[in-house]
Amino acid sequence: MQASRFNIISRIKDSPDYFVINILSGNADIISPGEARLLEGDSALTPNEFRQKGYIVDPVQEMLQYRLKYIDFIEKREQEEVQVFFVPTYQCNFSCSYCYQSEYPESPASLSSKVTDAFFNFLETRLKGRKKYITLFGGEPFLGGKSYKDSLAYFIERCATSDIEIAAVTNGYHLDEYFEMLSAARVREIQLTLDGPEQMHNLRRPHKGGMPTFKRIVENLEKCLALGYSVNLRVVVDRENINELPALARFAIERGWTSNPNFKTQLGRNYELHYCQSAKGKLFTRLELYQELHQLIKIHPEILEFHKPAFSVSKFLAENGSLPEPLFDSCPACKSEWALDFSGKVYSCTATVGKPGEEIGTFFPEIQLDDKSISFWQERDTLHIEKCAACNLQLACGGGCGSVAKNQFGNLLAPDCRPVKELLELGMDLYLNS
Amino acid sequence: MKSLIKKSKKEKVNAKVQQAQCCAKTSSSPAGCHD
Repeated sequence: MQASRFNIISRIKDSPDYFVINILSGNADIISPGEARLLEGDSALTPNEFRQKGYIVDPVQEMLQYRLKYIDFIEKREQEEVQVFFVPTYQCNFSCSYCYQSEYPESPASLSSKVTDAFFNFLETRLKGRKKYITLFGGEPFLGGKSYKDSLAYFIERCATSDIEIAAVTNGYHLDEYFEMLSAARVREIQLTLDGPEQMHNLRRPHKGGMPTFKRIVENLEKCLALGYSVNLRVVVDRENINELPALARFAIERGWTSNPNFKTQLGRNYELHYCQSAKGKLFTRLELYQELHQLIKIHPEILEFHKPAFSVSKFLAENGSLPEPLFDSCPACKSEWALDFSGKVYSCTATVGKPGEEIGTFFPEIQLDDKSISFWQERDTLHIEKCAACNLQLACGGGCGSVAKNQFGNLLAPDCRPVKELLELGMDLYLNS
Repeated sequence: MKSLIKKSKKEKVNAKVQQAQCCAKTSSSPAGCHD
């Protein structure tokens, strides 16, 4: 018997106590410093409860359980709903300070109906039999201008006639001009972005013409909620605007957004993907962002009413009283996610869509896929990433993002590590240390 | 030793839920999994 290779043991921030979490066995405990020492020391001296909970194991039995859970994971993933992103244009009416698509090629002014037909043909052939939904992405998918709108109207009409749900990632500026068009389709969710209260948002996300955008987005967000649409409000965070988060949270609470069941939020870390313009000094690492959030929430607990950060599996554990299933792969590319664009190209995911050289095939004028490239994406998981194999955090991390790993190491089968242990230290303090 | 697992609430959760929790990926998140 020996300590499980999947034990995650560390001290809870600002506490003398420790935690042990084992995602394979599904157990989590708060333990004393003495118990932590025992668990990290001689396994013969550990209490029987440690064996019952899978913290001390027979390694052969544990490996068997690991393999069974992996098979279960792969089977479930193959039944998962597929998210198909579609980029009708890379044009955008905003000039955000941190845009990662700023150097992408120019787009035409409207979407060809032949491309729309070919897109639905791709869904009906390549993704036949899979449950799926479409997310409009950009650039900005809801641009002004009649010719563009007319071309998108045909796309949305095809979503409606195919009875496929649609979501959209939009800056929200022209959203109200699309409500009538969207009313024919089943809309799953609309994602909008506000980067803080009015002044900060307008500084970071101005219109290309220099006009402020905050008031118009707020109006459109509230129209969405009034129409019964689900709104997912994203805040892109870096050092420039993190301290404005409490003010944005209070604004959302005062406007009644947070008490609406159709309102949810996400914080997106501003980071370097491909061509981010943001000054490097503004960016947080993953851990720095969560350390700042932890501090801010202690001072401004109202942030939690607006957004409750995950801190790895901490939030899940606190809310469900159980651990999630092992995550053998956190990269959905070419598995439960595809991204296609107006030019007829196919990409693995939203991180790669539109980036020259990242194409994995075409759906227009004909379907031609690079099966070898697709296989590389599809085989990426913690069993195939050599560095994940020895890592005790692998089942919470899932190996991270394939595109980031490829950008960083030139290799898809490299890990994009998440600071799981440190995030748990913070999250256990916030959500479970009472 | 204090267990954080509430057996009565323990539910079978699928991998998608796990993914959503770990990656903040939502139905329309553009950067959920790459961040």
